[in-house]
Amino acid sequence: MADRVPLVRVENAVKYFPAGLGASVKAVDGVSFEIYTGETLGLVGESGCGKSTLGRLITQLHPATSGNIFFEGIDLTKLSGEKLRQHRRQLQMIFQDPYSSLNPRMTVGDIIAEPLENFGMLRGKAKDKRVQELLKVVGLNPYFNNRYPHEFSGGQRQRIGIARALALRPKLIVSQILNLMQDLRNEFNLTYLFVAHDLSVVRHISDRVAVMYLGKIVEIADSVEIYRNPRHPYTKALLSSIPIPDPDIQAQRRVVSLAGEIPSPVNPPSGCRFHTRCPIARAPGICSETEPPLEEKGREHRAACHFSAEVPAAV
Amino acid sequence: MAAPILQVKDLKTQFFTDDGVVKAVNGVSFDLYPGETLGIVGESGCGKSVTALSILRLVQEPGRIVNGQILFKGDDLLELSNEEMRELRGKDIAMIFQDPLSSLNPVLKVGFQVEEAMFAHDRVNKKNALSRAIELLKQVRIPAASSRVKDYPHQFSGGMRQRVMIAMGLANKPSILIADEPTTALDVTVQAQILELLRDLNRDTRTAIIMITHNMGVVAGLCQRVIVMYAGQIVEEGPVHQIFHNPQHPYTWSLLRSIPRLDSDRHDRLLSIEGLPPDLISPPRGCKFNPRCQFRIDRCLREDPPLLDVGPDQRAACWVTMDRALKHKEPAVGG
Amino acid sequence: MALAPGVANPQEYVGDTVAREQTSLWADAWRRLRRNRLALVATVFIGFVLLVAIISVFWTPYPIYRESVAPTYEGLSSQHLLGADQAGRDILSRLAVGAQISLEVGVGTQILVVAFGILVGLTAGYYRGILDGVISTVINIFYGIPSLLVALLMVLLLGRGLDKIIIAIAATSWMDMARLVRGQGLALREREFVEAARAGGAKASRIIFRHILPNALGPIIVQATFGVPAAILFEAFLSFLGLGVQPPAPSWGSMAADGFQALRLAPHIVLAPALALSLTLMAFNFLGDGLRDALDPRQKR
Ligand SMILES: Nc1ncnc2c1ncn2[C@@H]1O[C@H](COP(=O)(O)OP(=O)(O)O)[C@@H](O)[C@H]1O
Ligand SMILES: Nc1ncnc2c1ncn2[C@@H]1O[C@H](COP(=O)(O)OP(=O)(O)O)[C@@H](O)[C@H]1O
Ligand code: SF4
Ligand SMILES: [Mg+2]
Ligand SMILES: [Mg+2]
Repeated sequence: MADRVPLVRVENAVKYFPAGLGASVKAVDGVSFEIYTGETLGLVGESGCGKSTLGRLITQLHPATSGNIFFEGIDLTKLSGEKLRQHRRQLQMIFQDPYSSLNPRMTVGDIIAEPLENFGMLRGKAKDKRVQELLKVVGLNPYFNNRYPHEFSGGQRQRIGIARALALRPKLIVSQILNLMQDLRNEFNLTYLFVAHDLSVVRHISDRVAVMYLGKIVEIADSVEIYRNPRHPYTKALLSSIPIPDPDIQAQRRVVSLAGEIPSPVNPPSGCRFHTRCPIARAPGICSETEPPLEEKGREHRAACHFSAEVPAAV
Repeated sequence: MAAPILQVKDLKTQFFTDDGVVKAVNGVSFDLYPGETLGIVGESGCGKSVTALSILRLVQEPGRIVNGQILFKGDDLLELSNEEMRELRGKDIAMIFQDPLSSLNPVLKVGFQVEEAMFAHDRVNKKNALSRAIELLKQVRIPAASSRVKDYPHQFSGGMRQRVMIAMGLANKPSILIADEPTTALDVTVQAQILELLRDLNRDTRTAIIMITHNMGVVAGLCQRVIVMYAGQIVEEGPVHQIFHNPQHPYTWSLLRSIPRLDSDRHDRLLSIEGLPPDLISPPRGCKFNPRCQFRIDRCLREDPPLLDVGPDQRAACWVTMDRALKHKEPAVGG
Repeated sequence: MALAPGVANPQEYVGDTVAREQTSLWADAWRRLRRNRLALVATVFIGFVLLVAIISVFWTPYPIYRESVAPTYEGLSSQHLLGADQAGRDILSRLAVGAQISLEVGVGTQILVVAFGILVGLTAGYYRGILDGVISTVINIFYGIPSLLVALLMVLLLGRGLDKIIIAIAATSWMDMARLVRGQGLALREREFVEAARAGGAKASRIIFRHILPNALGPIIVQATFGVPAAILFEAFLSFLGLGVQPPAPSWGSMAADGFQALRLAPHIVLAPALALSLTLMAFNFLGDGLRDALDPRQKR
């Protein structure tokens, strides 16, 4: 498994989007964690919690509002222009939407060749050959390189996006889709940040899992551990919400219903951001007053909850 | 068991496109009993939505129902006039969709839209309209319903909008509610709440529910009976326990095996069903599943298997299952 | 699924291997346009007008400026198919040359409008910020000034040559295009394929010219097609008021104005250019509609 060398180190990353009238959407609000070389880190949470934004911060598609993002020891937030462009090659993103992530006016061959051209890596025949190899790697017919995206199905388009991301032989891939991940990991020596809302899938392919809520990481641990022994009530609630495809088990399970709705990221709740929906919160009290730090609750297991000992175990 | 409230018989719905005739629903027959929850599952594109739309005669051009009967309480819906059909929609059979935002009018207040849904069939008690609308919204557990009736759809979250749709669906106490992937666009936490709501509504109001989904977990938690569709046809049908614990069609079996489960061992490779669903313009000869089937025999390539009894209340359309069922009275591909 | 790198057997690739006709979105749009009867008729008619205009460069039945080639107010006859005007000039000949003027004005204006609109609109839409603020303000100011006033000033300033009229009309009508392109730029730059291009190391010029512009081209073409008849009409209007191309050049507008005094006596003098004008405007509008339907990807099944 992972040899514990951090490939990426995120330190107190913050991303605010302006939301008019001086307000801001606190999409990512101070997160710190590492991604170790060779591992797959799953990133989960309800939609709008900031997963994609965090992925874009790491791949430098959005500049961070504050904080640092180290890649192989170099702080990417300090780079700009050509230097940044050169470093960013190593970090690629695979987009979720197979329709909007491919330029409909370009052939598949041109789409995959573009990154190669951007860095003047290969030309002419050699470039075409590389494109065809990449198509083969993702299981598409290499002779389809002169077709257009709309001639492919959704799943096939995802593969085209994967081929494009692999063209520059990146070290880190931020992926929003599961397709092929397991197959390519060893072949290309990849480290993954896998962004998803489906915990049951994340669990299957991740070495570690990080759970986000309203712009914060609330729990991060080994993936076996986090499913067996969640230390944050939000993780617990997420786990209990996933339907298990077995009518008998499903009949016996108790869903931990979360009260109310996700609060707005413009005005997140005071103290612990989860206290407005937390089944075990002391609010008013410590939970609504003091923000719990993300701290060790076990071996390689961090959670941000004042009462993590009270979270019931297992599914 | 009581008489079925809805009987679909040999339904065939086709789309006449430039590229050819898409046989989206190809000979589907099933019964729905009063108060039951029936799941329809299958990969996307297998004809679930078109089946539902056909029942309500909402199939759009270039689609057409080319064959079959849809008996609601004994009357064939395909024989009704457009006017009678309009009257029946929403009143006797209601439907909710995956994307509630596009079904709600953005410039009208939510309460007003719920009232409209009630008046479409019942003009009598306009006076109590507002209080009835609030009551309905309370029934679907919208917090602070009496103030939220004055809000517009965009002020509601995705989950709340779906609740509004359910409230509108239930406004006239229909005997059937068809839900087409109502939770697919929602987060799991919200999905869990909506499913709980549907379960309770089914119990309290005895409204029969047809739940269309591609998520086997949703079916497991909600449905009593399940229909599995593949390429426009029903390949298996039975009580939920049988389908999950004793599937008789190789497709059902592969479907169950391919879902990641929270309660199984980690790092199992996810097994996906090999290959892609067939082209519905020129589907394969014989059993439509044969190109992807691990168990196929020669006969599968030549003849389309009929849907036959394979156990109590359970039916499957597979030559291998049938052979074995006759020989050993044993499941062919058990779970 | 068998995905080992180097799968040799094409049967194992995902998806069909049947050779199909390769289609770009443009080819697809063309196929759809051809199926639209009205647009097709319109295209044929525009082709006919173009042909007439081209022929008239080299040959007209009668010299267009020579007066008294026929009795004044002559009606339709075998020598003068569309009759003659108050000065006894052959109307058919003048109409043909008028087509030249109209097409030049229509197309010329739109070439300017498209070029300027793309430049300004993409700058505002892609770079946003202060640049966008300035450009948007200028656009709004131009919207605020009546077109006729701008055209009048331009004609006064520049003179009444055809090229000057084209510039004047373009100056009154570039804003819609600039605004459209700006909107497209703003929307397209947020699309994931643009993000993906940036992740792949694409520089700004590449993103603008390979990713944003080609995807904005459909709406631009449609808008320009609708812009042609608008420009033609505006020129005719200016000429009708006596502000357009210098008489005796036979603009359809000035021809109609000439005939206006004798409307009772010889209605054909007004009717001929009026009809030519309406049919041409209609044809371009139908073509525009057809193009919009053909190029709109939402229509694609
Ligand atoms: N480009 C943007 N401009 C403004 N707000 C944004 C932008 N991108 C994301 N957001 C907001 O930031 C929050 C987090 O979004 P996102 O990272 O996409 O969440 P997730 O991927 O977990 O669903 C949301 O409230 C979203 O509306
Ligand atoms: N308007 C349409 N035109 C052509 N084909 C259609 C249309 N609507 C649906 N289909 C086809 O009918 C089949 C069944 O679709 P549908 O019922 O929507 O599938 P699902 O099971 O995902 O709900 C699909 O193959 C789809 O391509
Ligand atoms: S800190 Fe308090 S509110 Fe936050 S999760 Fe823990 S118990 Fe709940
Ligand atoms: Mg996201
Ligand atoms: Mg559907």
